[in-house]
Formats: sequence, structure tokens, C-alpha cells
Amino acid sequence: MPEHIILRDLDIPDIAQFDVYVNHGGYQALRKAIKENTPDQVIDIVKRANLRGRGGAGFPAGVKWGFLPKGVFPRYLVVNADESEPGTFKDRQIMENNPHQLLEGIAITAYAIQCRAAYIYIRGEYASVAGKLQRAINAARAANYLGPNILGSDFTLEVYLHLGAGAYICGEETALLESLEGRLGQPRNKPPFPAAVGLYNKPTIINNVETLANVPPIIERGPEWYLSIGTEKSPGPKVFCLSGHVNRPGNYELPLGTPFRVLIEEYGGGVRDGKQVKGILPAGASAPILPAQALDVPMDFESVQAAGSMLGSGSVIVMDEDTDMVWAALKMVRFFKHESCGKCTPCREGTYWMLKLLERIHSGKAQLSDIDLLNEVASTMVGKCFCPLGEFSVSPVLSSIKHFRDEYEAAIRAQMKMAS
Amino acid sequence: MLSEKSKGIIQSLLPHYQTKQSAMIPALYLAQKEYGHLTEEAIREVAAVLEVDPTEVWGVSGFYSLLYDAPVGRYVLHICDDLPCALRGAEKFADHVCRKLGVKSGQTTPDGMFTLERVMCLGACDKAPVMQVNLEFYENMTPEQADRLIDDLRSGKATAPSISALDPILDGRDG
Amino acid sequence: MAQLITLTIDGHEVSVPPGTLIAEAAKRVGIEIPVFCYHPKLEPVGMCRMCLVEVGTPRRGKDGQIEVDAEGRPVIAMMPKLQTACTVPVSPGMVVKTNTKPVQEARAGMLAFLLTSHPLDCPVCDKGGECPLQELTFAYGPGVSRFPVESKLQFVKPVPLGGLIMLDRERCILCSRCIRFQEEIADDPVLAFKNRGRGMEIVTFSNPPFDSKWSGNTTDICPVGALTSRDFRFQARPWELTNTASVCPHCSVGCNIALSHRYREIRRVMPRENDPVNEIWICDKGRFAHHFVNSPDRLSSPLIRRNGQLEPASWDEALDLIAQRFGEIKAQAGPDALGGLAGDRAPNEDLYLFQKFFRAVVGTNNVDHRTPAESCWPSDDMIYRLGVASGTDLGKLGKDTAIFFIGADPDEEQPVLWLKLKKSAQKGGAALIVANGRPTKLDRYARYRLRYRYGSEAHLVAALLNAVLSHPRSLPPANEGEGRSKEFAARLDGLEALRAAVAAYTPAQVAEETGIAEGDLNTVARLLAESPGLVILFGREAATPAVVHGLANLALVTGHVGRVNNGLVALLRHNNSQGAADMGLFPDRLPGYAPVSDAGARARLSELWGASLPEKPGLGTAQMLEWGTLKGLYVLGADPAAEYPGSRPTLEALDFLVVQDLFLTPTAKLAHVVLPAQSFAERSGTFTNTERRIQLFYPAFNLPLDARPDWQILNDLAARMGQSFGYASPSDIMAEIRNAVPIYQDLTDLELGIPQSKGRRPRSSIIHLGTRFDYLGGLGHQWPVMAEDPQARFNLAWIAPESDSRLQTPDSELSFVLAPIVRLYDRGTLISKSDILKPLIPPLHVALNEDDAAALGITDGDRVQVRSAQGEIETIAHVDGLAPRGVILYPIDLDTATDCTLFVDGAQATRVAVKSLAISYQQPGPAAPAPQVLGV
Repeated sequence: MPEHIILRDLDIPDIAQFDVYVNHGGYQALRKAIKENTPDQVIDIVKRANLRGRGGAGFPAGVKWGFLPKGVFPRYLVVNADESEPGTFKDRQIMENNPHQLLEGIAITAYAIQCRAAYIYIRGEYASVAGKLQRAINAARAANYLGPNILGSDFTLEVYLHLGAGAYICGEETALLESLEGRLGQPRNKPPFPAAVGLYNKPTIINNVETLANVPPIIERGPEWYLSIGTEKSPGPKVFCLSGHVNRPGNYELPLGTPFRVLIEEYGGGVRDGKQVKGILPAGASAPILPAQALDVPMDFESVQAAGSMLGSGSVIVMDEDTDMVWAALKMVRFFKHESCGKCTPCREGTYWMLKLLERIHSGKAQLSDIDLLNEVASTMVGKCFCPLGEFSVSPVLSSIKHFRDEYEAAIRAQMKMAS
Repeated sequence: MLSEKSKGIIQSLLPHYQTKQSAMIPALYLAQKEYGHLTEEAIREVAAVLEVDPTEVWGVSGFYSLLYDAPVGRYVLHICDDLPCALRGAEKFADHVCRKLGVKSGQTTPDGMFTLERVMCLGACDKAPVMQVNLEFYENMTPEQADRLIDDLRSGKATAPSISALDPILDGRDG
Repeated sequence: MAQLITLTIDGHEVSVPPGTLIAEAAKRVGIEIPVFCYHPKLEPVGMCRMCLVEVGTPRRGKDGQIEVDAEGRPVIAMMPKLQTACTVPVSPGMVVKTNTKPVQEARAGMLAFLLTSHPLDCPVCDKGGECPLQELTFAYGPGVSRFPVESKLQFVKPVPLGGLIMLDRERCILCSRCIRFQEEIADDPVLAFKNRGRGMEIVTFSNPPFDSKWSGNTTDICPVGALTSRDFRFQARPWELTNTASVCPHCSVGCNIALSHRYREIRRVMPRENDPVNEIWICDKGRFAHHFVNSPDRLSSPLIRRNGQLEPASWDEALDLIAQRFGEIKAQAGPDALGGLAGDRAPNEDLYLFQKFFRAVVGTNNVDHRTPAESCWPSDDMIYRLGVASGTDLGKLGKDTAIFFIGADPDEEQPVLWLKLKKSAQKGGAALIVANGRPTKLDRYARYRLRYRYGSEAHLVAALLNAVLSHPRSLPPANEGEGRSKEFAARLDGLEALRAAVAAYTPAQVAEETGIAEGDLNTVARLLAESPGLVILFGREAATPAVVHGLANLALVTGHVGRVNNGLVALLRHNNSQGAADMGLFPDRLPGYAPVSDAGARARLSELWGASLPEKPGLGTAQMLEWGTLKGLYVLGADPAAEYPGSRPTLEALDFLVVQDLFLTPTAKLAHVVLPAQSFAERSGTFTNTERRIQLFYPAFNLPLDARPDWQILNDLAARMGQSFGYASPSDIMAEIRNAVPIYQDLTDLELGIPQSKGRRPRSSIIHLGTRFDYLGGLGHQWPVMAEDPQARFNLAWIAPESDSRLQTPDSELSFVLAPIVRLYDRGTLISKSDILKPLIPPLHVALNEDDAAALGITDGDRVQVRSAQGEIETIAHVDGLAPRGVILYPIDLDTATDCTLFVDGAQATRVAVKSLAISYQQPGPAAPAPQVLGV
């Protein structure tokens, strides 16, 4: 890609510094939004650009903003910076290396939805990132890009950083709100959706860091330009996090619709030690594993779903031909069991049960029927959990049994043979 | 008793929010820094400042993995051995650090210097193995680098921030 | 009335109000949707996922119209996922399927999950037999467990969650009902989840743990055996218990309860549903203070004093002796040398008979039920005239009703009343005004709080009257508001005189006296005047004659009487204080409140009773206990020797003292004859609660004691004194009461209910209320007040605020106000037999403000001396935020002797001096002496 739109630090190394950002056209989009557009016009531009949420669900941001009930104030903007999905580290790079683009996106969005307070909920483990971000907020506020009467207008915005304290579930937007209100991070019933009843029971828009970082370039260059990138239904640039058995793991900003193979081979330098790909996790631990046959699937929301998985946050974990898939499933289920908030029965008990079965299979103490039992426990959870975390937790199990059942059987048979 | 300084910081945070309870996590970070962990006294003081029942604070303190209701070492070491990191050798690395410190995950060294935790994703999967020392990142680690870092921390040649995750933000606010 | 929404559930059409949840709609057509976390009294959370059902809605085409199939029926689009019936409200045309294969699989799946770590200890679990988890597992669960048994989580078996409740974490299915109950209903958020995922557990961090007067209710709504009461643990299996419908014998709310008993012993007390009285809740006192019934201290036979000693005797001996001695005294000194003092805990039937015995058999009006200090309480017939109109539900008052509450802490005195007022204010939107000299838990829900200076209550009320009478819209006769017509104003006598009398008490003029700003008083007065409905509640802390009459005038001049959601409520002390008044336990009033001077009323009763009645008003409690006024006294369920020690010389000097009680009380120890009475658990009868609701209770068992019900004793005694009453049961007496007491004439058997309680119904209750007792009885009967009669006239009687002079002492030394307060857990005779509650009863102490404490050099826990004009005591000081400046809060009934030492007239504030004794006890030397009671 000739020019980075989100990861501009790759082109301009010091862009995290306020002056550098401003010297490279920074905060001009905010100026343009405030001076030349009404809030509704900004929403309309973002709608036309079809900016889809980069946090995982892919819901169009502009449409979400349009859900705010008319005339109900105050409203809040909450920035979801609780990036905790295994294999995901893109928001961290944006916040550390290009924070002002995020802040500018926040300011434009706050202007569009007419709120006066924005909270950045950043995971506790990113404390050092938060320190840098706080400095960026100070700088932007000192220059009146944030704070009272921004750029001489009557638009006022305070941006508050709020640290999480170690809970993956707080990436779920309503759990995040609970946590921000000082309670256990357990999700709320929907409806009502946060756009209607959110933070402090007021209308609230929750957007991911990367989503908001897309807003300034959209305002600056217009929706038509944005639509020219990516696919028809999934436009724009996307930061893909590449990790696992590749030579050059890292964040790569590519148009949506770029095939896995291009990301892994061209950008990631291929699989380590010249090995073959065995499985790809396109969305961290949360989406079904795809087998190597999926390498040529384009990475956009629709295509990955058609291939039997989900694009999610675009966190591509690559596993090579030697990977023990039972072990991989165990690792992921362990993660979900650890992060299950405990609110609903199927997730709380199911993740624990799946973990115990996987441990039994992996340690060779299982019987063949345990594979079916595992499959059944996971299937029982499907569609019945309170929030997506529980639903995600079955993906590694169901997909690994589907594609790599022979490995499960082999793990059990090997022990059975030894025992006899 | 919480220091006046900490109480002052909590008071300065309250206007950021619509409810006092919203300041729960920052207040707990501050209390944790002062007491080393969330003692009964700390819980009750935070409850009093936020005007909620101490039970509520006690419950919250148990939900989040960065809040400690039992004593921890001066340095809390986090090593991620989730799948992406494990694919890049994090498990072996973590095993090594465990052996080096002579503790299992969740345990504290007898001298009270280090608590080691094998944790879930830290958002540094491309730079595995990764270790955090009181939430400061050390990336692309080798066993040798870890040994040296631990030795330096123990001898005082190296230091790390406090266990309060809030400090970087507060530093950022001030400077 | 909003239009109903029609939907189809398993082919049954049902129409329900908008907002109804699917689970509730299904209940209406008798379809069970199993739940664990859902509870109709709590906000739905959708956590347990047990209630998953298939839901579809009519599909709409692009034109927005509902699509129809070839036969013209709407095309239903089923939702791809199962939905939680407990969180999804109904919508028009919705189709719900609760018995399909996916639903069955989901239920079996959720149960399999819930049982992964649930121990199979049903055989030793107190919930076994009435456990929703057990029942639903039988109904919907998988037949076998496939969870690896070695992976089951194990915890230390039950840990105390507080003094009353145990938690078994293995059994807990984390439904959060208990947490939500404490938060939403009790507003004591002292339970929470700690940890997350499978490590989650219920914790409390309050001090003391699980600090709530409502904790027992969590064991009722717990859908498993995780929360059990320490009282009932291992006492009996539920199916061995017999459940008897009863009414709580403690405060005057009259909560409906069930006595679960086995082998003639109460094993537990459970709430029975009666929505207007207690919904489905009871307080911990009602639940755990039942041990007096089976106390080994109960009197087991009549006692007669022989040679100075009380010795067991037969009933015949005892009753013959009483008849003989009463006869002798009557013959020698006349009927007025005899008197009767009854406690207001006894049932209506017995109290009625008690006064009938004295009036018709002895021939005197010397009967009373009040304490010596209560001669104004509750201002005799104020409730009879102006009580809250029948049909009022204090828990369901809404936006169009104001609640004026003065002079009590309902949270401590009548917890369920507190619950109802809170609900009306919080959920219903009623405008609650709390007037009190000190903060209480009711303040949290108040729209306005009036923090008056102690002693200025009557000025406060007079100023409200003044402001209301100057308010153009409310003032009769100009007022044209709903129900407050000119005609009503015409029924008021003395309006102009009242207007003149209150002219001097403008809000501005009383501001200094009361400590309440003029503007605040005007705001409240406007609210009271303009609100369509107004309920005024008053407690003993403020209820002087001037205040009570002032409140009555306030209700009258604003037209707030005689209609639903209007009128007065007195927070009466005991379970049957109202009934005692209704039954004519007054020296100057007959049953039904007619004055004894009312010849017509006397004649009517005389005919009914077949005896002539004395005309002359009798002696009240205070006079009867004066030395030398009586020769013989009959005390039924009261204990003057303990409660008013000053009466001991009188009691000791009596020629003949009869005491009828459950226990050998201090008064009984002075008696010549002691008669053992039966408790409410051994007999039937009725109590009338503070809202005038007459409620029936049933006998649970007989005890192997030679005790008899009060009514039977009186019946037998009357026969021995020449009058055969001939009652065979309390219902015979109630039949007569219906004739004798006009306000009881409309009472029907149906309203009193059917003597049945089917016990905990875990299965049917799954779609209802969780485990609770089905209510099969009537809801009781609330008798109508005089104001409900459209012809009734009212006299605006005025008592000047200056009559409340008790705190205006010239003695400047006594610079503090000593305010008596009521605590739920005190040292009353009944509660003190309950070992499980004993630790909750605080030691005697006084509470004072931090600033006052600092000025006096007192720190928390110090010993202090408190001196009133009457006497002085030493006790412990608590320094807390609840006492206003200049006020010492004194919990009464922790030590009745000290109560009497300090207070001139019972439960009314008085002036005191306070000084620290801390220094003297810090000196080395012998251990500090026990608190010494001085001045008795």
C-alpha cells in the first residue's frame, strides 16, 4: 500500500508528537467538520462512507450514530480501547504511535453526536500506553482542539481516560459501560441498546479506536474517496494484526478484501521455516478456525463469513503444519474460561466443562466418546449465551473438531495404545 | 488510612463522572498502591469515599485481574502464554522464568520481590515472548534478557513503575 | 387503560397489558416456563437462560404491512435464536413456542450446566423437597450427568453469611436473586458477587456481615439450598412439616405468615402472600422471633400464692379463688375497686371479652390497654374518624398521592411499612415528605425532608396549617378540586376559629422554633394542598395531642379524608393495638368508640349482653396504677412492674392481683394468682393491624402445658361469677363482636379466609414467585372509617402548640434533648426468647453527634452519664452521624428500668445533661463496674 491512512506512523515516524501531527495536516478535518458542517451532515458523510465498525461486529458507524434518540441529552461517546482479543494489537499501535488521529476522530464524532464528554476505556494492561495518550490529550487540549469552545465554536468536549483493570469481557460494550460505572464488568440486557440507554442511562455511542481513527480521513477526503478503497460492502483500509507462525508478525494496513495469502506471504514473509499453513484464526480466538484451503479468501466481512468464520477485528493468527490443534483449542478455551464473566449459565459452566474435557483429551486420559461430548457441550452453548463472549468460546472447539477431528482421535488413541 | 494525596486525587477524579461509583477502579488502583494490595481497610475507605456499600467494592475488587485482594510482590511479572504468544515460544519462556524465580504462576518469591502471573493476551502478540513488569512492556524477550532484568530489579540496578496502573495517566496529567 | 396485546403461546391465545413479559403471559394461560433467576418482584436479568423459548413475530413486507399466507394468516418470522421469556415483552401477534425440541434441549442443557458443580446432597439439603432446581431437574433435566466428577468444584461446606444466614457455595447457581433482593427491595446492598466465571461467589462485606433486617427473605427466594437460615437448618424435612396460616404477632403491620411446625414445635416462620399487607416479605424479627412459643420458660399451670410463694394449682382452684376474691372486693368496696389492664398483643376476641367481663360482670369501666403515658395515643378515636380510607394500599401509592410522614423510623418500628412507603415513593412516584428530628432510612426516598428541632413538631404542623389555609386553591370552600367540594367544606365545623387560631403560626414565625426555612414549609404546604391524594402517617416520637390534632386538621381542611389514598395512619406499637382500641379497652369508650356516657350505645350493648352497664367513666392505666385507687387488678398480657417500675408499690399493695400471661413476668411474680395463657400459635383469633385490617390466624398445635386461651379463661371466670357467656370458640365471640362493634359488622367469613396453607410450592411457583407460600385465605377485612360516610361532620379541634412544653425547660443545665428511638431488636419479652436474634440486640447505649462528642470530650465507646430532671444513668456512648446536634438518641426497650429512670412520660423526648465518664475509668484499678442504675 503506497500510503498509510491509519498507521501513519509508518510513513511519518514522529506523528505521535502533536506538532508533527499538526504539521502533516492534523486536526484540519476537525476544523472542517466544525466550520463547514452541521453535526447531522457529519453523520451523513460517515454514513455515506459506510465506515464499518473495526471492533469486530462491522456495524456501520454512521448508522449507529443515527440511532440516538432525538433531543435527549446529555449524550456520551465511549471509546472502546479495551483491546483484549488474543492476537489483536492494532489499537495499541494507533494509541501509542498515532494518538492524535484517534483524538481528532473522537472530537469529530463527539461533534457529530453532540456530546460534551467522551471516555476512552483503555485496558489496564495498557497503562503505559494510557500515559502517552494522556499527554496527547493534554497537548490537544492546550491547543484548543479539545476542551471548552473548540476552535472558537460553541462545541465543548472533555476527553477522559478511564483504565480498565483486567477483564476481556469489558470489550463487550455493555459490560464496558458497567465497568465504567464502577461495577462488575458484566453485560447488560439488550434492548435497550446503549444508543438509547447507555452510560448513566443516557444515550451513548460506543466505537472502537480504529473505527474513530478512520473518521478524520473520511471527513478530510470525502466518502467517495473512502469508498474507492476496499470492497463494495466493506470499504476502507483495515489494520490487520498478523501473529503466530509467520516470519514478520505485526500490524499491516491493507484494503478490506485483501486475501489471507497476500497478508501472510507478501507482508508477513510467509510461514516460518518454510512450513505450510495448517490453520488460520481470522479474528483471534473468537472466530472458527479456517483450514489452509481458505488462504485465498478475501479478508472482508462477507467473504470470511461465507468461508465459515468471521473477520471480526482482523486478528490473523497463523498456525503451521506442526501445530497440535487439540492444544490450540485448549489454549483458546482456557482463555474464554478465564475471561467468562460468570453472568450466564452456559458460558460460565460450559467454558469450564469444555476446558476440563480438553484437558482430559490433551493429557490422554480421555475416551473417544469424549470428543462427541465436547462437541455436544459446545453445541448446547450455541445461541444461548447472554453475550458474544460465550458464543465465541465454542468456535475453537467446534471448528477444530470439524476440521481436525483426526487429531483429537489420534491424541486419544495414542494413549489408549500405550495403556494397552 | 489513605493518604491525603490519594484522597485528593480521588476527589479530583470525581468530577469526570456522573456518579461517584464510576471512580471505583481508579480509586482501587490508588488504594492498592498505598496498601500494596486491597486490604479490608482499603476497601472500607474506598467505599466511604465513593459512598457505596463496602460489599460492592469488595465484589468489584474480585472481578478484575489487576486488582489484588491478597499481598503481591514489589514487582508483578506478567507473561502472556496465550495462543499467539505460545506459538512463538512463550510457554517455554514462562517456564524458564518460573524456574528462575522458583515459583509457580500466581506465587510470590519468598523475599516478596516478585509475583509471577501467566496471563492472557497483553496485546503484544507480534513481539512475543512478552513480559510486563508492573505493566511496563518488555518485548521480544529471551530467557537471558529475562534473567538479567530480574537480577537487575532484585539488585536495584533496574527499577520499574509502581503497581498502580493509574500512575502513567497521573504522570501524563501532570506533565 | 392501555389496550391489551394479544399473542399466541403454544396455540393458546392470550391478551395481556403492554409490557408484560412472555413468562408472565404464559403463566396466565397455565403454561409453565421454568426460571431460576427471574422473580416477578425483581427486575429481570436473563442470566440463567432457563426460560429460553422460541419466539416469532408477524413478518412485515417492504410496505410495512404484515404479510399473510394463502389462507390470510399472518406469516410468522421465527427469531433465529431462542429468546429469554423473562426479558422479552410481548408484542401484537407474537407467537411463542415453549415445548419444541430446541426448547426442550435448551432446558436440558441449562440444567446439565447448572448441575455440573451442584452437589447431589439433596438428601441432607434443607431445600430438598421444595427446591426449584430439584423439581425442574425432574421435569426437564437430563437423566444422567456426564460431567467428569473429579472436576466438580468443591468449597468448604456452609459458611455463615451473617448471624442468621448460611451460604453453601457448592449449591449456589449464581442466579443473583439474593443480591438483587438486597439491592432492589431491601436497599441494603450488602450482598455481591465476587470473582468471575466459575469462581464467582456470593459475598458480604458489611459490618456486621449481611447487615439487613430482611436477610431471611433471601432464603425464601433462593431457588436452591444455597442460602439457609441458621434457625431452620436441619430442623425438619419440608414434607414433614405442617403449615398453619397465621399472622405475625410482633409489630402492627400484621404480616401474613405460615407457621411450619412438627412435633408441636415451630420449626420456621415463612411469609404468606397478601399483597396489600406484606406482598411476599417479612422482616427477620417476624421470621426468627418465634421461639417464645416453644420456650421452656412458658407457664405450665396456674399458680396460687400460698404462704408468700406461688405454687402450682388446678384451674378450678385458681378460677374459684379469683371469683371469690373479686366477689368479696366488689361486695366490700364496690365494683370500682376492681380494674383490668390488658396488653394490646392479645387477639380481638379476648380483649373484647376482657372489657365485657369488667363492664358486664364486675360492673366497672376500669379497663384500659394503654401505657400510663399513652393517654393521648393514638388520640383515642382519631383513626376511627379519619383513618386512611379503606381500599388504600400504602405500597401502591402513585404520582397523584403525597405521603406526609412524621415522627418515627418505620425501618426499625415497622419494617414492612417502610418497604411499602419506599415502593410507593420509588416505584409509584408518590411525593414523600419525611419530617423527623433525625435522619432515618426513609429519608432516602423523600422528595422533601423536614428536619425539625425536637419539641417543635406542633409548631411545624401549625405552620403547615397556616400555610395551607392561606393557599387559595386548596382552601375550602373556594377549592373546587376533585373530591374536595364546597359540600365537604360545609361539613367542617370550627374553620374560622381554626383560621384565627393558626394566624400567629406563619411559616416565617415558626422558622426559628422549628429550624425549617419558611420557603420549605410553604413548598410542602402547597404540595399537601394541591395533591389529589394525601396520606398522613405519624409515629409516637411526634404524636403529642397538639400534633395529632394538628395533623387531623391538616387532612380535613385540605379535604384529604374519606377517599381512597387519603387519611391518617398511626404507627401503632403492637400487633393488635388497633384492635384493643376497637374493642373498647378504654375507661371512657365502649367497643366501637362510643363514649360510655352515650346512653344509646350503652342500651344497645346492655341488651346484647343481658346486663346493665356502668355509666361513669372508669380509671385509665395511670390512675389504676396509682397507689390506693384499686383493691383488685386483673392484668392480661401486660407487665407494668417491668415497664413502669414506679407502679411496683401499688402492685405490691393490692389486695388481689391476677396476672394472665405466657411467662412469669415481673408483674406475675407479684400476683396472687397467675394464669397461664396460650400463645397465638395454639389457638385461633383475629388481630387488627395499623391499617385497620382484621386478619384471622389459626391454631398450629397444642402444647403439653396446662395453658388456656385468654377468652376461655374469661368465659369460665364469668360463669363462676354468675354470668354464663357460653362461648365455645373465638368465632362465637367474633359473631357477637359483629353485633356489638358497628365498624366490624361487615366482616365476612370469606374475608377472614380459609384455614389452609399448602406450604412452599416450588413447582407451581417457578412461574410465579420462587419458593413461597400460596395464599389460600382471604385478604382480611379493612373496616371503614367515619369519614367514608358522606354525611359525617367534622369538628376542627385546636390544641395550641404551646401545650407541648416538655422540652422547654428553664433548667439550662439540661442542655441536650434526649430522644427515645425504637430499635427493631430490643429486649422485649418475646424477642428475648430467641437465641438466634440475641446477638443482634445492641447493649444499652446512647448515640450522639460527632461535634457534641468532641465538645464534651467523648469518644466512641466511652462511658457517659446521662441525667434528666427525673434521674440519671450511666451507659456507653456511640458517636455516629445519625444524631443531630444537641440531641442524644436513646434506644428504648433495651433496658426498661433505665427508660423509666430518664423519661418522665414514656416515649417522649426530654431534656438531659451529658457528661463523659471516660477519664475516671481509664485510671488503673479494679475493672470498670457494671453500669449502675441510679435513681430507681
